[in-house]
Amino acid sequence: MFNSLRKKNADHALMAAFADGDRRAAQQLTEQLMPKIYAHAYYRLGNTSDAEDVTQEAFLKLWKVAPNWKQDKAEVSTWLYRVVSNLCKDRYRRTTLEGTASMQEPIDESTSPTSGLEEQYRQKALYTAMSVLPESQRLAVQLRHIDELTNPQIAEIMDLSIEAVESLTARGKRKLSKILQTQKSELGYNYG
Amino acid sequence: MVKNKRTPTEELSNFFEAAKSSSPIINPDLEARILRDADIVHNDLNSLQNRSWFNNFLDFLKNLGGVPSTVCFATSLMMGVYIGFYSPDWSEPVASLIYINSFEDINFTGSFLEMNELY
Repeated sequence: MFNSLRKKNADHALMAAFADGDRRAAQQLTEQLMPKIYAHAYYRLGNTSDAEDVTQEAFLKLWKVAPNWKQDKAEVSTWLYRVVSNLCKDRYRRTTLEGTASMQEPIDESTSPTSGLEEQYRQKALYTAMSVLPESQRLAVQLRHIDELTNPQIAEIMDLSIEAVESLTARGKRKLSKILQTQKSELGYNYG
Repeated sequence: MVKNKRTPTEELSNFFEAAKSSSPIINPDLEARILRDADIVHNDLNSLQNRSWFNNFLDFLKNLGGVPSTVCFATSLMMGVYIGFYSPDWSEPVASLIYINSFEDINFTGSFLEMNELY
């Protein structure tokens, strides 16, 4: 808790520094937050070019809001997740309508050298299963279990109560378990 | 054969761990693009801060409604200042305009312009 408070203050300080004309603050914020935001966008949208566009757009909004950034506002990362989440929602709606939503595989395997293939199977199975979930459940599960945000943060991002987030996550996980159980036999491998 | 006795929750957390362990490759150009945007926003902010008071005043006038509104605003401002400082006695000129010889002719204590007598 103390660490998160310290991080929040550090991010606020970086925002203030950026507004005062410090270019390094922008670089530091980008280095800290961009990988997480990009990963979130990528797993929501399923392709690199859309994820890049959405990440860039979210950061552009962040730079523009910097001069009016208030200390009592949310954490910078929470704010960014919220923006990117809304942008993904818009983009996803569009791509679904165009029928082009398909997951590419530009995964960094250097992070999982030992069991790369199995991990990839698991990952693919998970995202296929998640794509079946309703939008709100999918977002809640992703933010909680993949992006590792806390329930209060997710509540802020999704504009819901903490109880609603807990309920969404629990229902999402139950549904995911069921879907993955059926996939388990269909795919013919044991991922347990 | 050993039976898999993992609970569904444990199995699910394996999937989440798999998702977390491999992150998507980030195009190195993306960071450059984001920082380029930051520079553009910076320059815009700086140019806004460096604007002279005269430019800000011109913007204010533009927001006021352009030349006609500005002229009217300036005229009423000058009139206000003039009246405020010199408090001119305009009762006679105004009275001549509305065909009354003197304001003293009007009986403010009686019926209003004798209109009550009409009813």
